Amino acid sequence: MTAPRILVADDEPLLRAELVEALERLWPEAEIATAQDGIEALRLGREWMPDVAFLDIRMTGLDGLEVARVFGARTHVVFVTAYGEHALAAFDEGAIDYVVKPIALERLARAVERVRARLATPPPDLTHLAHFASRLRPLPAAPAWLQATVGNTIHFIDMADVVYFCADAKYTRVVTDALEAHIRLSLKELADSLDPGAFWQIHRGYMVAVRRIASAARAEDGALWLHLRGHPARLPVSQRFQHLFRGM
Amino acid sequence: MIDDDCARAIRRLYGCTWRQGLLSVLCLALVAGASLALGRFALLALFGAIVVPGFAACASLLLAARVAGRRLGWAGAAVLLLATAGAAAWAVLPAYKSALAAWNVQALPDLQVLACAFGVSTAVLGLPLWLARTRAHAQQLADLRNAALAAELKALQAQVEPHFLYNTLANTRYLARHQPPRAVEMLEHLIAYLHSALPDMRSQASTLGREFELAGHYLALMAIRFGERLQYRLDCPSALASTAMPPLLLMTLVENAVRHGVEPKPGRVHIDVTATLHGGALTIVVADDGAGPGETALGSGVGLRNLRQRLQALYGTRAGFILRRTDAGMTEAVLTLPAAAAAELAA
Repeated sequence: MTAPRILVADDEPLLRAELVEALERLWPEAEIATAQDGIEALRLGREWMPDVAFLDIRMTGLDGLEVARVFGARTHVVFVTAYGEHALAAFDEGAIDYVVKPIALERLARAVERVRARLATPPPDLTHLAHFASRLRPLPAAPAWLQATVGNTIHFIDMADVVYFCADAKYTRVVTDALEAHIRLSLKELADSLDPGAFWQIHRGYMVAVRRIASAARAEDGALWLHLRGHPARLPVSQRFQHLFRGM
Repeated sequence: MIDDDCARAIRRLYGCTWRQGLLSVLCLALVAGASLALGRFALLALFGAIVVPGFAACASLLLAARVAGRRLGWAGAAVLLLATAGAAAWAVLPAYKSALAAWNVQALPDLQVLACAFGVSTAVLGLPLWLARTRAHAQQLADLRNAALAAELKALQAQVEPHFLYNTLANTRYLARHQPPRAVEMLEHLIAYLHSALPDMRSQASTLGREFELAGHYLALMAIRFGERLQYRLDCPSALASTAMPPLLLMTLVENAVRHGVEPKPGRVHIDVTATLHGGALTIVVADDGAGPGETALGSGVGLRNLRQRLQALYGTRAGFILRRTDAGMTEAVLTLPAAAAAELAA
């Protein structure tokens, strides 16, 4: 049997060297190659066909999870993850192994042992890692601010300052008391990530900050309009969203 | 605390020293004497009808503030003011009428006298009280906001990411085996960094020199960790080193440059930190040629948000922060502080 090939990918050179050194000790007959970022790991994966890959999860270029997904079922993957960075419990359920940085030698030895035992069997297919990854990544918190570009200056807008959002072609116009700017997201994409308790969609083209709603009033033609606290704009409420204001 | 503010405001507004009281009585006597001497009885009586409820209201409020103290409250004070002024105006009315009858002068209609006495004393005494209440509330809000900011700053200062600490120590462990002098160097940077990142929590003020030093230790650690990939330059003119500035603002920008500039971009990244003084404004620029803020339009990171809030609370509109992408592909975080801030921070 030819010597097993191990790929080690980490973007911190000293930590990479440390891992290589430990692996040389634990698995003397293996051949080891290193990658300094996700893109290089991907290239080596394709050209060198490693049997085992130790992938840092947080890595420049492509992260370890993305690299593993491309590797699919060709390579046994052991993830290297910083302490507290990911929900590690999720790994325990699956066939995926991991070691925590800073690496403890005994833990690494166990991972090496396990992967050696599995070497004869085909690796689990990691193409569907997306499913795993969604559980591994910390849940994104509701955004606290947004970036809007005016010229070559990027404005930071605190979510607490937003009065309403208004769909504007592909983009969204954000209106605060101080400024109006465009952000490169459609209102729909935005709606999916905002805190549903803080912003209500009231129309295909409008989302309003709940705490700025002063009143809803019916016009003579039966249309419902919102008046805002401390802002002159009047926003339309479409039929679909009128249930939000039932009883008003 | 509101109620305590109220009692204090009442003492300040309506109370007086003996000397002030004597002077006021003298003034009143002068006015009364002059009216008497000139035979303006109608004026004198009306004057009395107005002054007496005013004094009664003052006295009752002062008494209540002394007896009830912090339990009195703004609403209680207002009710007491209205009630005493009303009752005293009512009580003074017969005296007013009988005095004028004795002088044989035509009295004003009852309602007018009542309205006059009640209206003037409530307006003269009530308005300052209302103003004091508004001011006390504003002050209280400002105090709360400052306390929240101070707490947040403490949390920030105490917060060294475990992630950062573990990775740095793992690097040191490797160096200790292979390049002991480098390991010692790294540990020294780490110790100095921790020393200034976890300083005495009381300090609200720092200097530009100290902040640059802290940023320097952090960047030195990162440069060891990332190797060749990270290069940096810090330029703090020695004349500016003692300029006062709030702590951890510069650190936020430098950490941001590493996280969003260096970490995501393969290859070499350069970070440049400079400070200049221009006509009373201190400008600090952290520039990097890394990945840049990109297209991500939404963020939940607290770093920059916190920075903006602190600037707003400390300087209002006199400080500025912008993030921009230059034509040369550099990401620049530009912080502008009023240089006269030294005095404010020291205060």
